[in-house]
Amino acid sequence: MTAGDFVLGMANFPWLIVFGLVIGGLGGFFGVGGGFLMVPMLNVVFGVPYNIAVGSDLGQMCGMSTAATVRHMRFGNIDFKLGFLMIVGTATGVEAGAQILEVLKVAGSITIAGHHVEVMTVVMSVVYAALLVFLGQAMVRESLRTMKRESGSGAFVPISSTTSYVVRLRSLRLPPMVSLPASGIESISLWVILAIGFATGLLSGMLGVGGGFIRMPALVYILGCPTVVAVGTDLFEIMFSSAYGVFTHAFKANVHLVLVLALLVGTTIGSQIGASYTRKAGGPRVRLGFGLLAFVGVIMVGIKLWFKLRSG
Amino acid sequence: MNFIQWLQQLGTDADPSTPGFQARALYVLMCLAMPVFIGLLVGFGLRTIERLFGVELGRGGHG
Repeated sequence: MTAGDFVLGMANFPWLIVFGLVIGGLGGFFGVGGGFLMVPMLNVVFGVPYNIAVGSDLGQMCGMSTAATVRHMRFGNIDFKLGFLMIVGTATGVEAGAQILEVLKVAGSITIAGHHVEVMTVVMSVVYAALLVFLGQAMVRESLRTMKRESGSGAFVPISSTTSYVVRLRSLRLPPMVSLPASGIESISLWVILAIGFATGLLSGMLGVGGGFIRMPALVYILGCPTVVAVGTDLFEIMFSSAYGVFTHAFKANVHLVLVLALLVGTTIGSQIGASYTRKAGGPRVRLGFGLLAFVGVIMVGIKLWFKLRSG
Repeated sequence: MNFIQWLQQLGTDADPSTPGFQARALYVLMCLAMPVFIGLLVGFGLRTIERLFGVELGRGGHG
């Protein structure tokens, strides 16, 4: 199904704004984009096909990240050289992700236990469930460890920022080598930068997520960027990757303009409300709540897939 | 026809399953221009509010 075939009832428009408000609020509260919740929930709650949910979410993300980059620019924390170099890898990854989604779109349906279901629905549901489990468990484990340490019942275990694997990647001497003065990096292989861009771009193009949960640690631990520069450059990268994602998904008719508008209105307001509350709540308990929320998402995706199988 | 109906209309002929399909230029342009325009509006708007009232608003998602 394409954006042209998917008719969005006008009665749903206010509900989509409310939905964007909730997801934007959660994103603002937890300090994340919320793309990984947005796409599966659009499919589960509103029945938006995955390809249209991904394309439209990238449109919403493009607007949100543009606003955030405009606000962040005054801090001067963006490494433009790194950002532009990474864009090459990111754009290639986004295109590869979008092409995978195109293949899934025309893959037809398969029979599972005597029921017909679209290949795209099965693959995307499984991939999203895996992504949500991965993110959820990482957040829950990290927040529980922090809470334990703060209460004094757990021994302090220093987290090594440079594992041997990371050191090997950082010291890779595969030409061409580039220097990134704004990040204080003397010399690093261009291929490492491109690989990070490609990996996050692939996730963005296929799943409609910003990929900050991979790019941020990669910038800090693999490249060795200062955290403030990593935050600014990550934003800059999300802006370009989502813009390219919208562009390529528009050519595949996966972007539903009314959906983008409704989500953008909701998330813009919601993220501000969420961000204002996070100051009051803050801390590891917020991250624990976020982690548990990801598991709720997994359950909802599972239930939806089960219903699809039953009705197929 | 209001703006939302116009947006809905813009995407209705987008059918890539047709041989030789080419997305309408206006549709592609709107897909990119609308979010960027709203993003710029919100970003500069919030910056202005922060400057005028001397407050720092939350960064929200993607920020």
